[in-house]
Amino acid sequence: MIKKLGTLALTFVLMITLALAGCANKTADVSTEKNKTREDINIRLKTNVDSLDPQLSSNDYSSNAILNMYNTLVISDSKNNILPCLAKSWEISDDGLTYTFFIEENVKFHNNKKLTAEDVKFTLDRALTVPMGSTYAFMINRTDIINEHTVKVTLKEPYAPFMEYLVLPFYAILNKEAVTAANGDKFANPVGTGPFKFVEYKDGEYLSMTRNDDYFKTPAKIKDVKFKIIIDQTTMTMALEKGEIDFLEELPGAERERFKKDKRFEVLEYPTNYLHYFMLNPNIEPLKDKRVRQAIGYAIDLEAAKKVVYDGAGEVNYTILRSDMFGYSDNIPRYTYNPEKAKELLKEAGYANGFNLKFVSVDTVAGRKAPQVMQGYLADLGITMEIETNEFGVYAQKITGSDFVISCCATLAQNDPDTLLYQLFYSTEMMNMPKYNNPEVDKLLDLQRKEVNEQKRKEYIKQIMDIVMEDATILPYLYREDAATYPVSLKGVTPKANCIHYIYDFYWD
Amino acid sequence: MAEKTKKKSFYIAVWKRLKKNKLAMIGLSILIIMLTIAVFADIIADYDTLAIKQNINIRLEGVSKEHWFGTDSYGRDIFARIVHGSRISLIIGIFAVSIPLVIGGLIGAIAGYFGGLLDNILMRLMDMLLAIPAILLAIAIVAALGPGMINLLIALSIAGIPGYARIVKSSVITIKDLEFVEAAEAIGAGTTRILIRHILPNILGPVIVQATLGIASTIINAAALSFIGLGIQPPKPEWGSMLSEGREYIRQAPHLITFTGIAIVLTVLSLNLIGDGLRDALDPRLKD
Amino acid sequence: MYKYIIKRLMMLIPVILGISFIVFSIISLTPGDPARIILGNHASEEAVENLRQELGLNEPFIKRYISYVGSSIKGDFGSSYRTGKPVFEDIFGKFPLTLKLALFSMLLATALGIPIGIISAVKRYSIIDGASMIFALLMTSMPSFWIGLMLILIFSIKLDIFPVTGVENIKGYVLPTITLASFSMAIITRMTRSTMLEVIRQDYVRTARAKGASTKRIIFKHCIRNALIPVVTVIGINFGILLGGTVITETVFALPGLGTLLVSAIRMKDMPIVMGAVIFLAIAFSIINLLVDLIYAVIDPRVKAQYSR
Repeated sequence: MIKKLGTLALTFVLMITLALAGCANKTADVSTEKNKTREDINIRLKTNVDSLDPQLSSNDYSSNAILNMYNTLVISDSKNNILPCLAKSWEISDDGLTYTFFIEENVKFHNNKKLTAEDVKFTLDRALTVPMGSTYAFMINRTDIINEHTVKVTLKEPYAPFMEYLVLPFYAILNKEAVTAANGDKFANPVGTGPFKFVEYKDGEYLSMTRNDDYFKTPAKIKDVKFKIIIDQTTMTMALEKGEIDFLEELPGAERERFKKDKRFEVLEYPTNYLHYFMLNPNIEPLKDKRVRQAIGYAIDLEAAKKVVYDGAGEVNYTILRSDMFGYSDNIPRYTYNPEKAKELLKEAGYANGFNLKFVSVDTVAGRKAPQVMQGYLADLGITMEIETNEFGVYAQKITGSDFVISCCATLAQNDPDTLLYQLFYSTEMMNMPKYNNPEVDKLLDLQRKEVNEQKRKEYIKQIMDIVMEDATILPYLYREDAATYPVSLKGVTPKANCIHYIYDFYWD
Repeated sequence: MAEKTKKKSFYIAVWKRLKKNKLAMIGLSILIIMLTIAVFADIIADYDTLAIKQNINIRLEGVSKEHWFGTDSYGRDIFARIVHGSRISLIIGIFAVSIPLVIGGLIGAIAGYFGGLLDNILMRLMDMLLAIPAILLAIAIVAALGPGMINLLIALSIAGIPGYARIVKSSVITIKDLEFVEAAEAIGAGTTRILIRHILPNILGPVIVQATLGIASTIINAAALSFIGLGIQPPKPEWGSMLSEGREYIRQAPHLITFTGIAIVLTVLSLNLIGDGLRDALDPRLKD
Repeated sequence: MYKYIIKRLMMLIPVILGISFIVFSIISLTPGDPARIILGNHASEEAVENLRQELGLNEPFIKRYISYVGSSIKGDFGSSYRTGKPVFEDIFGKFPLTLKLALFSMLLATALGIPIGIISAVKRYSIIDGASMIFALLMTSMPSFWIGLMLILIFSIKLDIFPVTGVENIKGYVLPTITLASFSMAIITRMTRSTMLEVIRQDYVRTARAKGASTKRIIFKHCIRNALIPVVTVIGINFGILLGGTVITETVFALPGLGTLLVSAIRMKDMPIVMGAVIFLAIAFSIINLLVDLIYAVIDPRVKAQYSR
């Protein structure tokens, strides 16, 4: 009998193994025919909604979703051209200081109130007072109402990328009356002008919206939108295959080949403007010595790291700026994989036998993997790296408090490099989390911001890049490449580098 | 002297009975193999070059002569990681059960035997710890102490105490009023003597069953904590974190979770088989 | 008896004070600033400091705990740092799912575990006994998240019978319930079997046998009642394991229950939610423990006699 039972147990284990292996090729039913007549869509949302008020949200995933209930003054297309939205046209003064927006006249909020210049002014004024204002609204001086449908925005100084900012959910136009009534409640019913109206939000479950039939343009083709909150990646891809969700924006690299081969799905890979980078704190030993920081730069094979962290997806970056950005130059210092040079630098710095340090990371898939790869490479230099994986909030607190030796971060770059470089290197910027402080760089950053002559500005940027790359407090890693994935019968998906998806454009066919 | 011989013969009898139990012997063999692997892990597979050294060129490779169980997403040898992982899991399993078993068992025995106010105070203390489910308590403690092996051990141990206390207490209650204990009391046996000589052997059965399941569930709980991102830090090869790493590649490389899963199942299964065998063998009422 | 119940309920007060103090200290003494977490990493130092003032986070730890106890006695448990909603709105929103999951699993585990355990004990060494014991052993030997993952792969993806996630209808509960129940079911089966075997060996059963009572009568009249006493404790303890296990199950099936709420709140240092959820769970769980003890008293008259003393 013992023998029988042994066989039984073995069969059971084998069954499971086979079931696992067998499942790899199974196709589930995502019927194309059935989809054609659909008017609803289920979209994967990666995180909980942190606020239904776009100005109070500090989570891009959440605010990009709620943006579908609002409109911004302008929008961008997939090539990052600025197009009209609530502002039907605009004028920029010659000195680049004032922007005059002419607002669409027959726009109604979801509470049936008409959109006026008053609401636009309210939105821009409030932008200066909310916590995120220091990041997104630093350039605004004041907003004035010219008439019921015209506003004039005056900047503190000329600031070329301003229009790129107005596209972001942070600048979604709010209804003055509704927001005033909500009195800071992040989860008050949102009142926008957007193509979809709020239905319900259930924390941890879903955010649902329905079509706004009074939309100021043609109403959307999709009627019911449900953002399903699925944090887990494995569950997410299975839900997509089962048709429980119809759209996800970040298919993991490891799954892309499989979904590309699958005729039922469209996999649309697109480069994003999200730059991922490592931060080295120059104020803490042993990273005070720039040779040590450079050694770390030389120690890591970014291409190989990309394989592990993103399963090969994305564009490795050595220069912070991308080749299509303003001011990019081939000719700046960069750290390509060179373990011999790394060892040499460490030796010079007096750390031939390595040292110990701690990586402060965040609990996401990439946040768990990237430091592990680095750990492996640093071990080759005799450096022992401990990894501390934190919940997002705790991580945010640590990095903004500069409470780390080495860490990682990601930020949304604009096509103009000004904001990115300011954030990363200006001594008083909050996003300069390694607290890099170089008066020379500060001066050059200020100069390039005011410079109108493009050639001169490029030279300033080149000088900045030479210094900051040499100082190596920021080690760029890659520009993330996302892959929107959805059934082939879903049309109208046009991914944008800022990762905002307008469901208004989606339709089934 | 006579006392010693009696004890010795008791254990010999237990071993003899255990030897007859084939399932327990299978379990014991598996466990001995696992323990041997854990002890000689460094000889079987080098830790630094195979278990934790990444080699991205050979990532996610299948089963081969060089890599018996294939490689993981960092190109590390899964066989080597499982071998070294057995150390971590066994140490956690054994310590995180024996510590709370001793502490909780004492508390439960005292509470159950004496009853009254002492029972009340001790069990209310236990209720306090029991008032939130053990794994949540463990999560809270690990979250407070920070991840790492020792902290995981402490968390799982604290979370385990009240469970054992309750089990022992309820066993003591059912037994202490039985005739033989009353008889021992009647002939004037001391409390300690009654607890150790009469009650302990009689409650040993359920306690050992519970402790065996305890090691099983502790190994699984430790894996679960790692699975949700608390627990042992990378690149240490803990089975639970290996499973959660492999989960992502469940379709492309199912071997990542298959072999590690089998390692867990075998280890835990062996412990359960031995526990069962021991229970039968220890039970004095089964004496021929 | 009523006196006893009231006495037990009164005893809940120190238990809850104790556990709330433990949890309050755990959360307070670990690094991480709730104000920064609420505002995110874009917020200015000044805004964070203002919020710290507003939330009273700059007060000493003991003072904060006392004022927390003070306001919660008045029924004010505060609002979630993250959502800004009153604590119990959040908790009551999540608890039904977790409770349902735990109850369904308990029912499944008991309904299968006890009969299988009894049959195994009565028909000891039979093939049924062997098979169910091996099955129980495997169930306790497999991590629940592994079981859950495999159930999803087999029954959701391969056979397309149950959904991967979501509990919009009863079908959605099937796989999570099985996943969650597997471990408890195995434990209950094993415990029932082992206590049944012990009881069968007891003197009075032998006496009954000697008196010529039928096997069926012995089992139903004498054995089950006595064997169930330790099993009831195990079920009680298992309910705790189940409530805790929902964290893992909810993670695997991506379900928004109390377990995931509590864990994410611990990690986000959302103190009001953590405290509210812990106190809520403590009360719910203590009531279950009380019920277990009462059932105890009903089936074991010796214990009842002790309580009425």
